[in-house]
Amino acid sequence: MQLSELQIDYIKELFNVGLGEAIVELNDMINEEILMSVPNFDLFEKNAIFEKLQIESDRNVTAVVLPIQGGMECNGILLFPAQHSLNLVRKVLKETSGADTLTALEVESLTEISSIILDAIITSISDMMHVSISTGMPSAYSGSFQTLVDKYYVGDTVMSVGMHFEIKDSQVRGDILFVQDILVIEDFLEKTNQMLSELGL
Amino acid sequence: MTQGNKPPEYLTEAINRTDLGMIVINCRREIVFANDWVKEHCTVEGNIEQKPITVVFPNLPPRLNKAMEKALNLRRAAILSNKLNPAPFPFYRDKQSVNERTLISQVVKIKPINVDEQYCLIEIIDISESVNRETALHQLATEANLKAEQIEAQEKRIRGIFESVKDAIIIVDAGGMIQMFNHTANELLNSAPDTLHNINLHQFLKEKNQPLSEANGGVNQMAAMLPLWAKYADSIELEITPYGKVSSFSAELSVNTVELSEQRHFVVVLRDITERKQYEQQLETMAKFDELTSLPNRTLLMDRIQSAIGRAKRFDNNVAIIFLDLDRFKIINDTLGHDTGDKLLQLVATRLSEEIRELDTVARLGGDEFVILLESLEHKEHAAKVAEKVVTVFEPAFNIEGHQLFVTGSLGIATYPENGETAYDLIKCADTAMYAVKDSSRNNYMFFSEKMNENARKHLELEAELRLAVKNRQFSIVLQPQLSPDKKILHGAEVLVRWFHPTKGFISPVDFIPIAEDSGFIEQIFDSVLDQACQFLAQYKHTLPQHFRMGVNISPRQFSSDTFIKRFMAVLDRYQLETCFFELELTEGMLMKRTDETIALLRSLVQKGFVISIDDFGTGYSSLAYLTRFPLHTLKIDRSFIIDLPDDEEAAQVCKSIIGLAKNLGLMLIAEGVETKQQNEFLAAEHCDVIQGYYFAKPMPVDNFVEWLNALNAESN
Repeated sequence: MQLSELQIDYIKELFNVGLGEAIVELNDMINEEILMSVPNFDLFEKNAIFEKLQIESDRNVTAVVLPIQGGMECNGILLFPAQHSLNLVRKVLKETSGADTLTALEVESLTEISSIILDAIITSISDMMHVSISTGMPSAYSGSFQTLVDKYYVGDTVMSVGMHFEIKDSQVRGDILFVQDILVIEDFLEKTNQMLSELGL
Repeated sequence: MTQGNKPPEYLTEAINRTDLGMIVINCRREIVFANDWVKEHCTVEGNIEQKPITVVFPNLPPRLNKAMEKALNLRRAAILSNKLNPAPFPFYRDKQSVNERTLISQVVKIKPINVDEQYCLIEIIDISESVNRETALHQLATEANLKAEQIEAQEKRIRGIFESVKDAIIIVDAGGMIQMFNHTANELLNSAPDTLHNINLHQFLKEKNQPLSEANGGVNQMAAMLPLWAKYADSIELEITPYGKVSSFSAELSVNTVELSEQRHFVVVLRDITERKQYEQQLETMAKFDELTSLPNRTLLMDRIQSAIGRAKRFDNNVAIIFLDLDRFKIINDTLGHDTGDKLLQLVATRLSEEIRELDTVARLGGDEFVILLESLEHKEHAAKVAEKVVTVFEPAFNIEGHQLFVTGSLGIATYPENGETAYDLIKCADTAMYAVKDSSRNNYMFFSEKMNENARKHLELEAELRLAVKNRQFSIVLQPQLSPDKKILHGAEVLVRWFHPTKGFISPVDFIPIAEDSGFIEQIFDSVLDQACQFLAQYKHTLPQHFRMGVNISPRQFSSDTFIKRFMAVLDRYQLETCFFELELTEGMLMKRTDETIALLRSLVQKGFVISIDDFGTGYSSLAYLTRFPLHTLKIDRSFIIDLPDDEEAAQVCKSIIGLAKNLGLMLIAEGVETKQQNEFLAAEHCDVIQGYYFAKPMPVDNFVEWLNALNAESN
């Protein structure tokens, strides 16, 4: 499925608006300036995920999974390489020392932060596309990338948005992934096109 | 919940008994249900249901409010983690006591419920226990991290020291197997990194060139030796053979016991002491051998003599000491330089070493003094044979840098047991005998005799008496006139010194001048002589002929003294005399030393008005080339050339040559020791300028000289 540059720009903008909201909320909570950007967007089939994200299947990852219902049935996943999730949480919580893996309470915080980000993006999508989207409880995952894919990637298509956080001079990389049925994607793109034509583009 | 649809009682009971707080709010934010957990832990009085949640809990954080809004409006679920929102609801444990109550740590989950209308379920999970546990764990982890960092830092420091010391440090187990070692150990034992592990230390160690393993029974012995070394030895010197090498080096080991993992280990510190050993050996060599000739020095010689005496006692045989001093070595050193002198000493050392048995010792005491120790002699006469050989050693010339040098030696011999029981006594006797040779003939040898000791004793006695003589002014002068051969012109007089000892009477200058020269009294004697000479001049200068000169003998010691001229001038000032009255008589030997300085000194003397003459000309080592460079006025032919005149053809030729030489160089010539008319006539015929000797007059005390002078004046008138 090929997307035009216009479509891609529009979708990236959707995400940027959502992230902007998330940043406002996070900044209020942690009183620390966070910068976020969406450098890339991609759409690919599920089995191309290892190659596209350049993460080996047996690599340990941390992820927060948000079940999405209503206008867009899918799983929203915010995926971090293991060390990056640790950095993100520790920077946000201003903790300097501790174990080399996330504690249970830290996992909860990661879940909250990630769900705020995902929620803001969903809000942005639902607002702009005039669809109602509800969410279930976010949950955290830690383990091999392969297992994550097997467990939560229910559809056959992946919409991937690369994301960069910058907190206190520290770079954190994350990937926002929406895994869904191709029909959902087509619906999503159809709506995107509608929006673009409404805007006269 | 709507009243009409009341849930079954068991369900309400179950919800009330759960350990989490549950609040349900409707779309107007009113609390429609709160379970017992909420009521038990909140401090709000009265019924909280049917009231807006923001009224019941007025200070909820914005994040919670927003999450509830989203749940009700957008059906979004949310989680509020404890770390980001520690206690969104004011729920307490032990809420009855304000002082004791504690805020409950919470995780809050917001879940939209859509039944007939929109509701929102708020779950409050008490995670105080988890928080406490995590806090405690975190603290423990922090402390452990800190400890680990400290241990790591200390370990690094110790490693740093361990690796940077220049000594090899090796930790071995109780059996000597290497467990740990530093970089230096690897280097010293020539092993590749890590190959030392679990190798037994014994295989590197050698004792007295024998592997320790063989000498002491090997590995088992190692286990026995280590505790002994640790307990009783500060350090052990051993030989170490590095890995794969045949040669070994000297090492010093120190061993200490250390407990590691509750097992006895040993820390072996190993130091390469090769350099120290070499240095020690060098010091020992320096302490026992002469640097210039590599011969044994005095210390080693004394040891060897003492040992030889010990052996001679046991085996009832003889030891002989030959003391050798080179004749006139000083002149060679002074004229040709110390380098040549040193080379000569080396050649002499070589020749001497070639002449003696391996059993015997040639040593150098210093300067030009050598000692030969002869051991296990059947008869002491054997020493004479060796001495004769040594004398002949000097017959061929020594060829040094183009100079053909002829040197002889004077040898004194002392023997054990006749002349002494100690090394010191024997050396002393041999030395005395050597001096006896010097005094008589040189280039010869003599056995020590008691008479020599007697002479030496006399010498000491004389020295003591000289001291008194100087103090008591026992020296007087005599004057011997110097005249033209026809007796018509009085040239001057030589001033000679006389010592009248209160009990011993007249003592010959031949006997006391060398001693006075050695002991330094010569300067005081000269002062006395000069003073008396000046007295005479001051008193009689008006009756003396014009150009009258007093010849005064200057000794080598005075001539090399810095204050000589100054002192001389001071005396002349005192008597208001001019320098031209004095003819300074120097010997050839004095002039040949440090010639450049000598020329400068002579020039300054001449500039002051003194006249310089060479005394005893022909007996020393004059270099004729120098004669032209010195500002000389007079030559005095030695009496030994005059005594055989005129009949001895050879003596006559020598005299003629010297006179000819003086004439050619424009020097005045004085013949000393002229005793007969024939001698005077011969010298007159050869145009010798001045005659001094018994033929005209003996040396006379001042009063007699004045009488003689008066008589001479009367005669000529």
